[in-house]
Amino acid sequence: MHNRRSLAVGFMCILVLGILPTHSHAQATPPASGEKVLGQPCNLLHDRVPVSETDPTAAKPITLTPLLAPEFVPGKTTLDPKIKNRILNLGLPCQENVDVSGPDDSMTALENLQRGFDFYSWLTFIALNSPADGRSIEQSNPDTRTKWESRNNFMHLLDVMIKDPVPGKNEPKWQNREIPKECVGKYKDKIKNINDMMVIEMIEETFNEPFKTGALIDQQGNYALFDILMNKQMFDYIVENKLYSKTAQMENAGLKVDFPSGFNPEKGKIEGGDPGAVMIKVSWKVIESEKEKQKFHTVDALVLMPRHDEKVDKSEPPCLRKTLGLVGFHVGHKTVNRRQWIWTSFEHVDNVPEDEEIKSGKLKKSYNFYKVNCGGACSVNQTPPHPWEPTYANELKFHDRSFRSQITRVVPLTDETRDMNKRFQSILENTVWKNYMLLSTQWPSDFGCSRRGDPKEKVIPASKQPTDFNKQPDMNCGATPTFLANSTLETYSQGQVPLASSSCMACHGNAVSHQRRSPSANPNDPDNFFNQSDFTFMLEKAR
Amino acid sequence: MDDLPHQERRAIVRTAKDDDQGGITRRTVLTGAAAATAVATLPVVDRPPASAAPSPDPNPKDMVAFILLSSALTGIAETRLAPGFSFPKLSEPPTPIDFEKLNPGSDPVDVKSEYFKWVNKRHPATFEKLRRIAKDNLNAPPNRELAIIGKIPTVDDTELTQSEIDLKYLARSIVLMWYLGAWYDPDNLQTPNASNFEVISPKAYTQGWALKVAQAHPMGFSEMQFGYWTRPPNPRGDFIG
Repeated sequence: MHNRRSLAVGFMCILVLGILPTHSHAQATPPASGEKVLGQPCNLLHDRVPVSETDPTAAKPITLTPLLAPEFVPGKTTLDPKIKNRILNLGLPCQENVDVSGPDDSMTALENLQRGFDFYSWLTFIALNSPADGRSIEQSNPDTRTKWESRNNFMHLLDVMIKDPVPGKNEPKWQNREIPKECVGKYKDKIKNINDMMVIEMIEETFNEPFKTGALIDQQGNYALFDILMNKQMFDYIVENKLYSKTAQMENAGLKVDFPSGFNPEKGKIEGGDPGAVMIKVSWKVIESEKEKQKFHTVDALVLMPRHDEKVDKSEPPCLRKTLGLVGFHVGHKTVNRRQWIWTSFEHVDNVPEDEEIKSGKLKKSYNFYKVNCGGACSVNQTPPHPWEPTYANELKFHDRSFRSQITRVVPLTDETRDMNKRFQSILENTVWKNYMLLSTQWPSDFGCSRRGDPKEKVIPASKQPTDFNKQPDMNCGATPTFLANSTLETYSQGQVPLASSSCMACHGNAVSHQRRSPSANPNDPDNFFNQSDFTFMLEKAR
Repeated sequence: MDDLPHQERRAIVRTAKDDDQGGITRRTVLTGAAAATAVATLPVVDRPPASAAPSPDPNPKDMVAFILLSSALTGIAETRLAPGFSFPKLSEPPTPIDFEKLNPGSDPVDVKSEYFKWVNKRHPATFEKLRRIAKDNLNAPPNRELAIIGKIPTVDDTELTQSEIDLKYLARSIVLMWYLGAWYDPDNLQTPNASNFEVISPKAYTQGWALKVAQAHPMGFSEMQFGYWTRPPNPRGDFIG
């Protein structure tokens, strides 16, 4: 009898376990002891020599920080270790520290500001890609988990825009995510710490570039993959206002979406600032060789292929374990003086050649998305043949096994950006991060416009003042430079044609949410309803 | 620290005299009359922008004078024509503005440089005289704009010297250039071919002030936010300064 009861209990346990959902709610690993919270305290470094550690203004006479000074020659001179340590380890800037002036009188205000923004971009890149365990970026290996890959700091979009949300009952939780059951089922016994894996649940935006401009296929015939993440400040705002729910958005016509702005501490202080809203978009390529692994920052990832409409196709999407290499890195950062956000773009140095390099014949041996000496056989900057959606049978290989994207960079980097890249790459020379370069930083140049808060709500301090979005004729407040495109993320919209070629702000400025005007609203009242989502397309993804 | 100096918006006084200047004036352009005449479907002389040989960047001080001149002629604030243009703050009592301390500013579009080079290439001598007028009347009473306009001839050509005629029509060409992004050569403005024009560049088309004054935007180019058409436009002051 005892045996039958044991058997019955055992059978019931098996039965119950068998019908429970086989997904895993994963909590993030708590921050290591002593690990700084991202953005605390704020990195106040300047592209010029500061007056003091807590004062971001430059000294007189105006002197460039030693890393940018003419005396520092990358590869030949050595940077003061103390300065190098500060640049590499002071963390995330909470806002830009830029100025119109510089040491060279022949440079315009715009050029001096651009230098400042590019310096800020590099500091941001270093801070976000520093090891999640708190070590210095100098100690990182190609596969060391970065700050942005840690759920202590950033959440994937689909872990926030969860399926079937119910405010008050089923809400996204910080650091929580559900590993898809297909991945759990396949790998939970094979991967020791499955909860620590990067998981990419593919949707169309994972393989198709913005505005459905096309997929990108690397030289091994694999899809490039794209992913979007947000920091806690963005997450908190979304949860607080229930923006993860499409229904809740539609019912909240009165909300003027306004993510928190980053701000520095008060002058003379080190504590008290906050980085505000930061969002990231990355692009990956599939790594298929050990040799490749050393050239890229890599991650061991689980990739769930796109789900099909169950009414049409009930087949289960494969969950693939892949080593992914980082090829593109966008950062959007909203600050109190740049409420149209600051837009930073990096990519791998071996992605594509520039048109001028092709004309001059000064090419590398190989590129990630360009075949050298292909000649007329390879159409440049053309989208792959349809269909673009990956098939389960082919996994992440493009269906046309002969096709490879042949991509060039249409708008070259400026000489100043190239120079700054060399300097930063030189102090990262012992890490994989030397293989990444800044393309540019796009920022709103009309300062009076960009920092303007809602004129009807004078609130002190400025960081608390609502953003005034209703700006005409140029709601982007003078985007500078006018165009910016990443060869992996905006591949097919590179160029300099207004409103057709890629511009971070021109595109994101038109992002909207699911909010709807209230039927009782007065259509002639400009303050009554304004469907804008503060420069992010994330809210459109609410389910 | 930071950024382009915050600008003090200067009130531009407009009086009835603004209209007493003949067919194509700032006021008539604002009301659309001149624009309708100029943009009517009449023969277009359209030379591709590439035909203009590249010329060096203008001297900053010359650019400052051009901005002051253009603001007076068009009625658009200097800081709108040239984002980042620096003016010392108004003081009480007012102190004379030092021309040497003015900065033309810099902006990512910089259509003003394109315009400067265009005019300077075609009518350098007369252009220099107009800039001189602007510079010499920087602090003239009752206000700079009226003083500058007052120095530009407006009476019938029969009462003017050739030099004065040149000034008169080049000033008009500059007004049309800023508003319409097209070049109506002063030599043509004096003849029945007044409506002949050249498209200066695609950039000039997108930066034309006529449609901004109308609180609108050129066809095919808008920097307004998606859905703006569902709301009343912002006040004109948001567009023109």
